[in-house]
Amino acid sequence: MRLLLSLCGRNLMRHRGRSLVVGIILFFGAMVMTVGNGVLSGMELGLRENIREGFLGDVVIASDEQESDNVLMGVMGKGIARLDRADEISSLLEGDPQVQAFAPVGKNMAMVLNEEDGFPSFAYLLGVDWESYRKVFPNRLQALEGAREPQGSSWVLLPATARDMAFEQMGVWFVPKPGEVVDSTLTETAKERRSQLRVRDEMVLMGFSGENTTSDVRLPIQGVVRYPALNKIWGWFAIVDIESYRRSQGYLAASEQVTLDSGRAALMEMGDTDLDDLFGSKLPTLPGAALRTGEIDSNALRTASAAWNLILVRLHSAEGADQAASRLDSSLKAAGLPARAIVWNKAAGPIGGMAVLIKGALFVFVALLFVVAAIIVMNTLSMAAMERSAEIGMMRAIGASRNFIRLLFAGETALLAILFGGAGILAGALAVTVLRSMNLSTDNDFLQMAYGGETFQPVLSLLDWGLAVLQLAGTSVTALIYPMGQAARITPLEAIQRD
Amino acid sequence: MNIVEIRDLVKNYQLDTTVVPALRGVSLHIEEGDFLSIVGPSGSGKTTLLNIIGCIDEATSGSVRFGGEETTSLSDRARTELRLHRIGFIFQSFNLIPVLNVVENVEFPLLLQRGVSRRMARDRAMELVEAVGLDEHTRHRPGELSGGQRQRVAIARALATRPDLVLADEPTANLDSVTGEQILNLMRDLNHTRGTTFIFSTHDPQVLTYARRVVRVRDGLMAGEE
Repeated sequence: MRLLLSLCGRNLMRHRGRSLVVGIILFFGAMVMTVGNGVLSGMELGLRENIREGFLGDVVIASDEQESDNVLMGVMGKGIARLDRADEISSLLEGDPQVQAFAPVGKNMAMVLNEEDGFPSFAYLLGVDWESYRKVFPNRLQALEGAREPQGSSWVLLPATARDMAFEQMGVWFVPKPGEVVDSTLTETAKERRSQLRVRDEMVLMGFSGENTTSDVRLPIQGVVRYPALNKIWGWFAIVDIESYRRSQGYLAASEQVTLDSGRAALMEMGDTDLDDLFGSKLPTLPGAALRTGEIDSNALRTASAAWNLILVRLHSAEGADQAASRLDSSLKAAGLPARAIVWNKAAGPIGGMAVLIKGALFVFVALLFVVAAIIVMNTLSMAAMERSAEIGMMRAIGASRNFIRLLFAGETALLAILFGGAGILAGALAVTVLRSMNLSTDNDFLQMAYGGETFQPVLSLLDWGLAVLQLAGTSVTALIYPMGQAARITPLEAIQRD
Repeated sequence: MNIVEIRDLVKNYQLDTTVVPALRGVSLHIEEGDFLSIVGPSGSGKTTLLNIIGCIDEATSGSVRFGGEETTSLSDRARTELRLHRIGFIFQSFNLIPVLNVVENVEFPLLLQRGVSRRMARDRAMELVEAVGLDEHTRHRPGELSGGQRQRVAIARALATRPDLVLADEPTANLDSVTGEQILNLMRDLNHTRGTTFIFSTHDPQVLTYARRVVRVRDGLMAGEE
């Protein structure tokens, strides 16, 4: 072993130029791979923190009838299924040791009606019970205008992104009560139209789903808010009090539930094309007592005073969210509750998908780098094997085995990998630290996604260090296999003939 | 007692579609302790003969027995072991390991052997370096030595493992006449004092005066023996 190490070290010094070429490739390869790992981890961590802390929590409880796990941004107009027996689910969550807090929410779409005789706009609605919501997502909202903490029973907190979009589509500039415009928050277009700006401090929202449009509600705007990051995603969600949300979605209180007699049911079932029949002989005969209160089981009318769509669950620790979701899911099934638990990244749907896409692209880049580095190193080592065939053949002639030659090549490459590749990993780690300390920020949507938030925060975990070492070893071994075999195949005769 | 017995040895080389015969049925016996010279013009087959005896090349047909063991049927690993433990080589162009100094080059084959301690190898190497008169150059690398000194290192290395046979392919070809003479004297002395069998090839008629036995090869055939 000592002989081998001594030979390796001296050979590297003897062929300094070539050693330097291989070393530099390994150095830069290891450095870029380490930075890549840091960026990937930072992005994943950032997204996880943003999604967890900003919006969805660690686990989302949705109805069994909810078709897709993606509950964040589905097909436009496709509603989120109503979550029944929310009280029982809440009891189950309260007894779970891993659950830190949870917030039931209503989540669906609404049309923002235009009272100025123009185009409407759209917004996602998040109906919340403010007290439970703030326990799960404390201090996530920043007030740009008005209040961050809503007061009273009927209100909407409008994110700046949704306001800007509404302005683009409707030409109305929404502000919190009592209707004062803050010039510093105006968009460029709004500034241009400042003198003719149509300002409203109330929004008229009409919930809609794939099934129907429902009733409209007029809500006072109590604040215009923003999130610390990913406002282009979260900023679409106007937060409203749960009762207003329910009214907008047509979720009726128990006292409002009715059963229709057959005549009125027939009336209700008449399609648009049959409206003319109201004036003809086909008009159904109505009995005297038209409407009766009572229990119903039809999905056409939404039931229960505590109607929700989702329960957002925050765990004590973000680690093991997958297992926690799986365990909660089993508990729900065991309790016979019509709900399922979805881990945050699945619930985030396209956001999680986009993250996977960006992560995949970065991974492909790192993998390409890996391949390119391996090919260059392999080519250099292969040339070295050919150049040194006389020396290798002579060693074989005086008794060196093929394994000794293999070990010689492996040892030389390993030394270069340890010295230069190790330095590359350290340089990469340093670069990650510097990049992190620079707190690079962006307003660009795509970059925010890549950053996992508003600032670029690459980070190296212990796993990433291990991964960098594995990548370096992988590159070195991949690059080594062919030239090592080539060197071991050199015969003493070949060496003598070349000589 | 014969250390090498060769019967009807044939070696053909394939050059594209042409078969070039290098040895065309050589038979030869070499006794233990011999100091034998294989003589012949360039291309006569003497290097091929040495290479096959030294298990560096493989025969096309015929038999080569080394110490009673048939070597033509040995695996690559077995031939490597044979070269390591029982055969020493001295090449025409010195062929030392450039990154090792004199004493390290000499101890190199010993360190490849299992069961030889570093200390034992160093002592043996130092003894041989002294025997070839290079004790003042132990720390020099091959690049810092003259041609004759390098060939002395090669001789010391060839003897390091106490082989039964040392093969030297034109050991004086790259040396001036005085140095060549010194090298031949050294080899003959070692043959006398240690009893090691030496076979060397040459086409230099002056070298022949040193050999105890001369085998002449021409066109791949034995052309005579003196």
